[in-house]
Formats: sequence, C-alpha cells, structure tokens
Amino acid sequence: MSYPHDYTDEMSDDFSEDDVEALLAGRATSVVGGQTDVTSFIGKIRAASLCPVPAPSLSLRTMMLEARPSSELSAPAVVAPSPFMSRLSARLAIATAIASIGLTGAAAADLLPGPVGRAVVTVVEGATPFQLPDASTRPQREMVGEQTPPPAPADPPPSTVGPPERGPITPPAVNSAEMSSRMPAAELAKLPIEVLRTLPPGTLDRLPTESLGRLPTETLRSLSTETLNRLPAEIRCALPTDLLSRLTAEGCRPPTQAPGLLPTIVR
Amino acid sequence: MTVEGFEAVLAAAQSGVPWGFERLYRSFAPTVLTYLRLQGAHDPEDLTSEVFLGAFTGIGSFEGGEIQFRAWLLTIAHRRLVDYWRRAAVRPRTASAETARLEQVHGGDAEEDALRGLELEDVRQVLDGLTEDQRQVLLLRILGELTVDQVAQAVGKPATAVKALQRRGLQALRRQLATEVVSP
Repeated sequence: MSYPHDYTDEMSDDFSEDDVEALLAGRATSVVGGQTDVTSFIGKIRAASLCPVPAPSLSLRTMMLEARPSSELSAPAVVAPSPFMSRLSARLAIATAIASIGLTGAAAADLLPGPVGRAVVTVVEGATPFQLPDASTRPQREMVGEQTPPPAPADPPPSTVGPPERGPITPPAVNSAEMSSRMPAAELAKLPIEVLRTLPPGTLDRLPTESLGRLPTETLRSLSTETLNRLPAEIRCALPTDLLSRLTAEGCRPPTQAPGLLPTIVR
Repeated sequence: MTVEGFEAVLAAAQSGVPWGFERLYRSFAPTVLTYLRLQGAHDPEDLTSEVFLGAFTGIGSFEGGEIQFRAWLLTIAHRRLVDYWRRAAVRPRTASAETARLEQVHGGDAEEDALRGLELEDVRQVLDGLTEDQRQVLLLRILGELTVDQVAQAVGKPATAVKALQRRGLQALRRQLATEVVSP
C-alpha cells in the first residue's frame, strides 16, 4: 500500500522559472516528478473552456442587438445598413423580443403546439447565437460558435465596418411574418413597439384593443377599418382626418360625415 | 480559440455593430464562463453577462489585439468576481456544492453535458486544494493567457508575488495530483 507522500522525495520540490512557464504553456518539460500530471491537468482546465456559449442575459442581448450611437465611440463611420441587414435586424429584434417574453422557454419545454414551437426554435436559433436547451425533441445541431465557428467576416474595407456579405448570422428559415401570424394575441401585445411596427397588417389587426393605442399613426394606417373602430374613443377622436374618414363606429366620425354625433364627443 | 479577422470584428464592435458584439461574445464567453465557474462563482452565467456588459460599454477605448482582448476580459471578470464576493459577502462555491449545479452545464446533448460536468467537477475538486490566491493566479495565466505582469496588475500584487504564487500553486497541484494517483 502506498501513501501520498511516498512519492514526494522522488520529485524535485521546486520548479524553475522555465519549468513554470513551460507548464503554464502546456509543455511538459520532463516526464519525471509528476510534471506530466500537472501538464495534463492544465490541459483539462483549457479543455473545460471549450464549453457551449452561455445564453446572455436580457440586458446583454438587448445591448448586443442595438447599435450604439457612434458618437459615443471613437470608431470609424458605419455605412448605412443594406436592405438585407435591415430585414435581418427586424428578425433579430423579433427573435429577441420573443425570447424575452418567455415564449422560447415555452417552445423549449414543448409547451407550444408542434409547428409553433418549431417555428420559434428555428427563428431564435437561426437569428441569434443562442440555442434552446431542448435536445430530446429535435435533431441535434452543432453548437453555434463552439468548435466550428461560422466563417469570419471577409476583410471589410478599411474605411467601413459594415457587415460582410456572408456574415456570421444566418437568416432564419421561417420568416417573422409567418411566425408572428401564429402568435397568440396576448403574446403579440407584449412585443415592443419597434417590433410591432414591422409586423404585417393582418397580424396587427389581432392585437388586443388596449395595445392598439401604442401604435404610431403611420402604423395605424395599415389597420383594417374594423380594427380602427376598436380603438378607444379618446384615440379614435384624435386620429388624423384620413383615418377619421374611415371610421364607421359611432362616437367620433369626421364632422362632414356625422355632424350630429360630434357634439357628444367634442363637448 | 482564435478569432478569425479579429481586428475587423473588434472594429465592428467598437462602432456598435451588432454582429461585432455577437462574434466577440461567441468567441470569448466560454472562457470567461469557465474562469468564473472554476473560481466558484455562484451564478457564473449571469456574471459572464455582466462582464461582457462592462466590456462592451468600454470597448470604444480598448486598444490591442486578440491576446490583449482576452486578458482584458479576464481582468474584468476577475474584478467583477471580487466585487461580487465583497458585495454579497459570500465565498467561492466549493466543489461539492458545485455538484448540485452540474445539470446546468448544458449544451444540447445530455450525455455529453454529464461528462463535461463531471470533468469540470474533477478539475474543481483539485483546484479546491489550492489557496484562493494561487487558484486565481493560475487560472488567469492558463485561461486568460495573461502574462505575469498582467496578472499582477489584475490582482493588485507585485510581479514577484505572482511568480511565487504560481510556483507554489503548481507545486500544490503536483502534490494533489500525486495524492489522487495513489489513493485507493
């Protein structure tokens, strides 16, 4: 039977500076005296850092997806985003918003109906560096950015820092309109206004009444007459003339169309 | 891990372009997370995000290449960790307590995750045999690839003290590993 300190005398009790540097660099300088074990252990520490990319917090995600004003930075000018990047940004915003309201959690936990859950998983994974932690219900995919990172940006011109044509983000297979059209109205209502503005009219018409009031005027123009009629009276009456003229609900029609009703509101 | 086209990625991040941030995060977050885990942070994922929030906020003033960037991140990680311990008046998580969190080391494959968790646990148990200072110095040198001077700056000790700590840390590791070999 051997004891821990039986081997102590066989080892050099001290490391030279060169030994230390060699060990920390992962090079075994000698096969005696336990240095190989130390080298191997240091290799294990390095290997531990090949873990999957952790999911960032909501505030970090928000920061990463929002371009900061370049005035804060002493950085080169940013070129105007291409149409591709604009569409991509909208999709990223949607994916992030969805993630933030917990829909991704529901998808990961398989709580959503099959097609919706898959759509959410596809969009979030396709548009962000984050993977939903549900391995059992879908085919395994290689962890994004782990062992085989996506192609690096292809040397952008020195005067610009715009994204490369084949950037690291792959557009989602399911488009945002299709996905949002499947979202329950209550979930739609939780999306930030920046995302709501990008949604197609048919989807916006499904918003709950209280959320319609958050929409900017230009977005209201894309709503159906029926939806406009659902607006709360105080908003309905403040609409610009072109929208007022589309209203059929009683209570706030333009004076030329319903003069008899106007006094009750204007008063 | 090396980042292809690091300069372009850094320039993009410094200009506030989202893919620049994303690429830096993907490339360096696992290293930061591992450092925090092996240091016994109680919520390493959350702290990793805090580190990157701090780094991305100050990235405009960063100058240097990939090696310097990694060192900078690990220095931020170290300071955040110390701040966290001070603020919360908690000490590093022990290896046994970490066992309960193994299932959180997820990456998509249950078996692979379990193996990775066990390996991490083994590493942590050995590192628990070092003093806090020794562990700190060795992890910054190994994971962050910081030089002695950079570690000295990060931990606020003279370079001679860092050299002594890393030498004693390696000696302690060697003893600990020899103990493991001869244990029944």
